[in-house]
Amino acid sequence: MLTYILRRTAAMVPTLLGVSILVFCIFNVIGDDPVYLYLGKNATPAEVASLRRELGLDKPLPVQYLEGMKQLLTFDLGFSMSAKEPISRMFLEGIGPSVAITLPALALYSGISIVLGLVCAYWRGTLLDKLIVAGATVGMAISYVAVMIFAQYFLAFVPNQHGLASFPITGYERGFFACLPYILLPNLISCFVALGYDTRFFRAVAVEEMNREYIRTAKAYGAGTRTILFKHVLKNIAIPIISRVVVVIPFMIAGSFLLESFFVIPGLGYKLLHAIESADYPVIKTFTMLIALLVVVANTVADVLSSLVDPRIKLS
Amino acid sequence: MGKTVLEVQNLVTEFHVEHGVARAVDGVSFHLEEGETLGLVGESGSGKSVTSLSLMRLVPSPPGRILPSSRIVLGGRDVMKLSEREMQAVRGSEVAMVFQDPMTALNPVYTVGNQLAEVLLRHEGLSREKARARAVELLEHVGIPAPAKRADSYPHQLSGGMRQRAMIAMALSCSPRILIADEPTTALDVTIQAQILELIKKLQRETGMAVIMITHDLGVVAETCDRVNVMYCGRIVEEAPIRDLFAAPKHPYTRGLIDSIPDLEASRGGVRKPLFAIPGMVPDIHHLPAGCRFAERCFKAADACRSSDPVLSDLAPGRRAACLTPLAAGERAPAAAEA
Repeated sequence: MLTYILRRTAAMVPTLLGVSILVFCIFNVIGDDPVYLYLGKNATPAEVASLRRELGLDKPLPVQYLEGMKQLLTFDLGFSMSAKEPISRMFLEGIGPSVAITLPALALYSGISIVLGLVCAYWRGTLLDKLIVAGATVGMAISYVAVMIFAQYFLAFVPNQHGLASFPITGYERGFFACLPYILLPNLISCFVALGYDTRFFRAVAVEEMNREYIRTAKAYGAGTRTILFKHVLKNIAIPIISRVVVVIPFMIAGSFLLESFFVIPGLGYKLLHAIESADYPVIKTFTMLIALLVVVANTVADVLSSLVDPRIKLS
Repeated sequence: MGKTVLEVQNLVTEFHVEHGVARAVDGVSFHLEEGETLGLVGESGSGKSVTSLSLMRLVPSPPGRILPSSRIVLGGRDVMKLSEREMQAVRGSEVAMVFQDPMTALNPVYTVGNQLAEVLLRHEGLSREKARARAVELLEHVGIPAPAKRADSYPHQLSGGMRQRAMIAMALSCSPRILIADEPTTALDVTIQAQILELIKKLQRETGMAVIMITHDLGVVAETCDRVNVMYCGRIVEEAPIRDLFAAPKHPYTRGLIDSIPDLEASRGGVRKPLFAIPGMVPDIHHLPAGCRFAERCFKAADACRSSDPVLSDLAPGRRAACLTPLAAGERAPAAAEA
């Protein structure tokens, strides 16, 4: 098992190399000149030359690439041009709020949707199944943005106006307990938005599994509902569950642009959005690279977990 | 005559599908005696598997439904009147099933020992350690070498024959009174088939359980059964003790099945003769004819056969056939007589 994990980890290296070259090409070779984007049309040649030197863009491309890699490996990621602070600190500060407003929701809606999906699959075609599917479809049909606006308005703004205890409308405070009031509503929204999709997804996966012959065998040997669903079906659909849940983590953490903007939460998405607005080239490039790294790591974790639950995945 | 362990009367199982209701099993009645092997023979779609699933109330519902007028009496209790929970206690402990394809019939992500132990924990109330020890014993009993090691194997790590042995071990785990073997050898190669049938017979002798052998293979029937029910289109069309069935079938369909068995003796010496086949096709279950369901394919069909539906009636003790013109001894289709 340990060798398998090590092997999978080693296999990340070529992927990451490829990703780093790709990101480098996008930003340093193909993309627009970041210096002009940042300084605007009216910059003097002296200013342009000075910023170019500062960013190291006057050096040959291979040197630029190697310097970039060195920065990544030492986690000395350079400075943001707009925020004037180290990018490494921006990233570390942003990751906490981002995790706080997404991962609790992920755990909650995944758990609920897996159970609902299993229940629907077991009682497929019954009224219960139809009601759950209808509810999920309605949930899916409502726009994410609409959910945020309605929730923020009716659950935070309106009660606040009437002096009722409710969620804070926007903002964030650091600290495990201090952040709780601020992260509740964003989590609820994330949960609501994803619940419909995931319930339908897990229902489809579980329905397919319920038709397998081993389920008939389990029933023929007297297994009850709970054993069928939570022993036999659950472990067999663990792989789609893992790939859906684990792989989505980096996207949730780094991609909550809307949620973080609406609630003014200083997470990764919020910071990245600001960097994009101010053409802050080093931040955009570095964040892109770090997010890619998270994606690769999440995929590897998903692979390792899958091999733990399914004996048919060869470890050798 | 042994004691009757299972009595089925007028079993009707329907499936509600988009374009109507399909009666997969249409008024099937039979009984099963202690220690005997009853064959349930028929081609694909004749309703034999649905019959066996109905006995266990395992027909998926919806879309399937067993009509409440059906009577399934198992060891003195009417199965149709049991609650789902009581039914769960019956499944696997009083009646056990062995399925066609042991690769797909076992859960791929649990070890064989785990799946055996699950049944033992549920029905026998054993502790985890005892269930595990008993599982190993059972695997040994069905002839699996290195049973302790095999108990920790996953289904995909075993050969087809071994998997079917493991399945049989599971069936045996709670000493059932009835074993339903649904095409237990169809997915196996011929040498393994013989071993598995021999194993089932040996276990039957040891435990005195009754066996319902569901198959489309008359060779398997000849080798294992005491008595046979032939099914066609959701109904039993003939019932006979094994010898009588092969010696003098009463129903033209049974005759046709027997005549369709390739004859190695006849083709020895280089003379190749075309294999006899029953002409025509099984009628569509949604558009059944008014009269006998076999009439269109029957060499003996008279006008009466196309208008009135024959019922299964006694011809001699232990012999029933649903035919208006039952065959005399030696009577066969002209084409089969030539072949």
